[in-house]
Amino acid sequence: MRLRALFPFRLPSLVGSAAVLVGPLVAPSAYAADVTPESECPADLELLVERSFAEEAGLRVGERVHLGSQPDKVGCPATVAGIYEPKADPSKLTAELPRVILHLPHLARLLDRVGEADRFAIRTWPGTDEEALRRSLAAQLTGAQVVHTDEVIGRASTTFEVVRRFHRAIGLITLTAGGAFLACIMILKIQERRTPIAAMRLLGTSRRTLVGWLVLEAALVSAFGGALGVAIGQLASAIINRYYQWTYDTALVFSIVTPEIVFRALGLAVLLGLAAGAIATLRLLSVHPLEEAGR
Amino acid sequence: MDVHRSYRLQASTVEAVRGVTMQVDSGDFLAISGSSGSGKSTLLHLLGGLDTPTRGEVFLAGARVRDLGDRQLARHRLLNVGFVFQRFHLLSMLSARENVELPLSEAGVGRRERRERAAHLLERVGLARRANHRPGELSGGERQRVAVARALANEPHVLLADEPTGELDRANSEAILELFASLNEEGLALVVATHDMHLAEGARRRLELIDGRLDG
Repeated sequence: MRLRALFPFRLPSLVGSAAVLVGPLVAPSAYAADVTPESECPADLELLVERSFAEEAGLRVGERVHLGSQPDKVGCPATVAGIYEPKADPSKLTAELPRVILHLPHLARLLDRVGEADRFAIRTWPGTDEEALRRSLAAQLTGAQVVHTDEVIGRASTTFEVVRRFHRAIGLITLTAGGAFLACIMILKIQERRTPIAAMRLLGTSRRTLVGWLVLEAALVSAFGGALGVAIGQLASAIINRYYQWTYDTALVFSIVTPEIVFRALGLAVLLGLAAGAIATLRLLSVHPLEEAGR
Repeated sequence: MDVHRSYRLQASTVEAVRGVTMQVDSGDFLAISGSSGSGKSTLLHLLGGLDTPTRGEVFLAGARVRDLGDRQLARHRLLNVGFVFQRFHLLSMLSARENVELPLSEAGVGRRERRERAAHLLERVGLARRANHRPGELSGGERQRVAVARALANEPHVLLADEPTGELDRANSEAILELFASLNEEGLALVVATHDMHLAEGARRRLELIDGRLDG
């Protein structure tokens, strides 16, 4: 087990109304009568800057900036040690505040909160008994809430789970409507051929052969439709992802066509096709071929 | 034997065939004529096991039609009876050769033999060069000849034709009559329901139906 040294903070959320002053945003030196004494600044203060913010603020690696928690004071000199691409996180999608990453001791000192932390993450080595660790930490850190990352993710994902179910319901309704539409198409398609089919029955083609033939045809048409739908879905997904990744400047994937979705879509399409074909065929075969071919 | 067939049409009952007794032997060429609605097609359907009589019995190639189940009857028709319809009823998405192969395929004939027999039959009806054409690319007379080839695919005992020249011009009707006569000379039994007096006169035996009863 080791403490994670780099800890992403959204500083204002940590220190309430305190501002983060970074490089170009700092007040000119003419007004900088109140400068943070060097003795109060962490030595070798460095920070990582989120890429989008770095681009916006014109920051580069190695650049010197001032970092502080009070807007009326010039902060501590710091070096931009790196620029990072934040992990794609839908919950941060519309966040407007920039993010930087500092070493935890530096941050604590900057905020004058040494020995305090609202929250921190612990990365464990593979094979660690996480539950035992959680229990141990909870017993030692009085008043602290020790939770597994999965639980945090679960809590944060509640909204997305609701959205996902909503999408699933829409998908189901769409597929049901599509299935009904497909059944109608198949009935019409088979009805169109009722005369030649009747002729085949009159010539001695068995019902079993015709049912097999027509149902197979319906299943193939459906499978083809399903495959086409999947291809359109893939294309639409790619377009949606490109558009929103561009709009929000993120690597977040907004739409995914997973193998499971493909499998389900094709399976459902074939099942619906089989059902539609069977309904249409049985409906057709319930009529005497002489009625269909004309007496 | 003493075959009757009636239909319910809304509130009334139509007696299409009334007590007909007849026999078709091998080598026969029988024309059934009569005015429209006289019951010609119904009698033909009864003869071929396409329809079942309301009363009386029909024997088809030694089997009593009433005793055969749906599948058995379909198989019996497939192997023993050839049908030619007024409107051809060819499958438009299949070529002439494939249409002829269809009953062979249903009868379980192997692919190679199917091909050979279909080719031979199309040659027999004079359409060897049109084998790969679809029905939409053929004239009415050619379509009917494909239908005849299809009807002959499984070497049936009898060929039943319902108004086979009804949609054809004089020249094509003549060609069909010649084809029928030639097939009959080879020993095939033919029963033709027709309005076409020229075709009827070409048959060896003629029966006339008047209001569902045989006349003469």
